[in-house]
Amino acid sequence: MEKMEPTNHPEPEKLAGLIDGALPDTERILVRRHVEACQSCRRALEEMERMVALLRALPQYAPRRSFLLDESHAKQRPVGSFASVYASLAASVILALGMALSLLIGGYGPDQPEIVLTPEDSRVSQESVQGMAPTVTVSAGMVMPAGVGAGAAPTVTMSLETPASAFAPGDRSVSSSGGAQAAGGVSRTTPSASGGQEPVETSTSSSSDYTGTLARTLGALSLGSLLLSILLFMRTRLYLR
Amino acid sequence: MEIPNDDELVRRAQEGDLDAFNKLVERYQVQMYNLAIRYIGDPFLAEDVTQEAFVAAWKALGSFRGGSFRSWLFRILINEAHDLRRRHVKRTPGSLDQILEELGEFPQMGDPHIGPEETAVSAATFKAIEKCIQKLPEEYKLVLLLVDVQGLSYDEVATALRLPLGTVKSRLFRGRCMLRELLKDSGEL
Repeated sequence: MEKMEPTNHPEPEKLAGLIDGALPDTERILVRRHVEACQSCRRALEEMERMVALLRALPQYAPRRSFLLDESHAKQRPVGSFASVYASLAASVILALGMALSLLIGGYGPDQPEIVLTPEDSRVSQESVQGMAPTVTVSAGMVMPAGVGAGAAPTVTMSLETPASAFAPGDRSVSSSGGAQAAGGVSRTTPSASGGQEPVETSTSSSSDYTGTLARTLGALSLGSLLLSILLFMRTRLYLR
Repeated sequence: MEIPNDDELVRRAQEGDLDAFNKLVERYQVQMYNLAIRYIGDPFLAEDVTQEAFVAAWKALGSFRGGSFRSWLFRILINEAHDLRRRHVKRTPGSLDQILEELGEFPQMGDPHIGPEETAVSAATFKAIEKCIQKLPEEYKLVLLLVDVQGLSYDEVATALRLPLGTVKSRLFRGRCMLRELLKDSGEL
C-alpha cells in the first residue's frame, strides 16, 4: 500500500529559509521532517537547492575599468554626519528662538523720544562753555559743529522748549528740555532747504539703539544659519530616498 | 598588516579621507558592478551607474548612520539605476540576446564551479540562467540577485530595499519558484 503523503505543506518561505539556513532550530526540524515524508516538497526543495547553487556559482564579471574616485572628487567632501547636522540644526533653532524672544521682550530698547522742532516753536539756545571751549550756537535749520576749538571738549547744553501742540496725537515725544543730552546721544539735525520754514526732525540715538541694531543683526544671522542648516539637512536626506 | 574594517574606513572617509573611501570602492566595486549589470542588463550603462553610485555615496557619506555599509551602497546603486531608467533607458525588444552576447565577451573572474565535487558548469548553462533572470519581474529579480547571487542576508536586503523582512522572504521564494519553472522549461534543471 502506497504511503500517504502529508498534506499540511510548510509555507513556501520556509522552504526558502531551509535552503538559506534562516529558520530557527525547532522550525527547521519540523520542515525537514515534513520534506522527508513529502515527495513533492522534497522534489521542489532539491530543484531549488540545485538552482540556488547555480546562482551562487554565477561568474562575476570583471569591470573593464576601476571606479576609484580621483582628486577632483575630493573637493566634494562628504556632508557632515547626521549627528552634526542635527546638532547644528538644533543650535540654530535655539539661537533663533532666543533672539526672537529677546527682541520680543526687550523690543528695540526703551522708547526713545522723538523731538520735532520748528523754527517758530523751538529755541535752541546755547551753551555754556568753560575756559577755552568755543561758543557754539545752534539755530533751527543750521548746525554748527561742536568741538572745533582746541583744548578740552566742549560741553554743549541744548535747551528745547516745544509746546505740546507741536506734537501729533500718539507721537512718542517729549516736551522736556535737555532730552537729547539726557539720553547721552548726539543730536542730528536735518537742515531745511527752504531756509528753516519746515519742521526739522531730530531723532536721538543711544546705546539702546546699538543694542537693538545688534539684536537685529544677530537675529538675521541666526535665521540665516537656521535656513542653511535646514538646507544642509534636506541635502543629506536626499540620499536616503 | 591589519586590514581595516568597513566601520573604520567609513569613519575616516566621513572625515574627508578619500583614500579610505577608495579602499571601500575597491572592496565593493565588483559586487556593485555585477548587481548593476544583471539588474540593468546593459554592461555599458552598468558601468555608468556604478560610477555614479560611488560618487553619490561619497557625497552622501555624512548621512550614513551605521549598520551594513554594503546594504547602504546597494541602496544607492538601485536608486541610481531607477533614476537612469526613468531618464532614458527603454529596452528594445530582442536586445536580450545581444546583451548576453556582450556579456559573453566580458572577462569573468575565476572559473565557474559548482557543488562539492567542483563540477564544472558549462558556459551554456550560465548563459541560460542569465537569460532566465532577465525574464523575472523586477521586484523578484532584485531580491533574488541580492540574496542568491550577491550573497546578502535577508536583513541586508530588507535594509537595501527598505522592505519588511516578510516581503523579502516572500519575494525571494516567488522569484525562485518562477526561475525554477523558467529553467525547467529551458531544460537546465
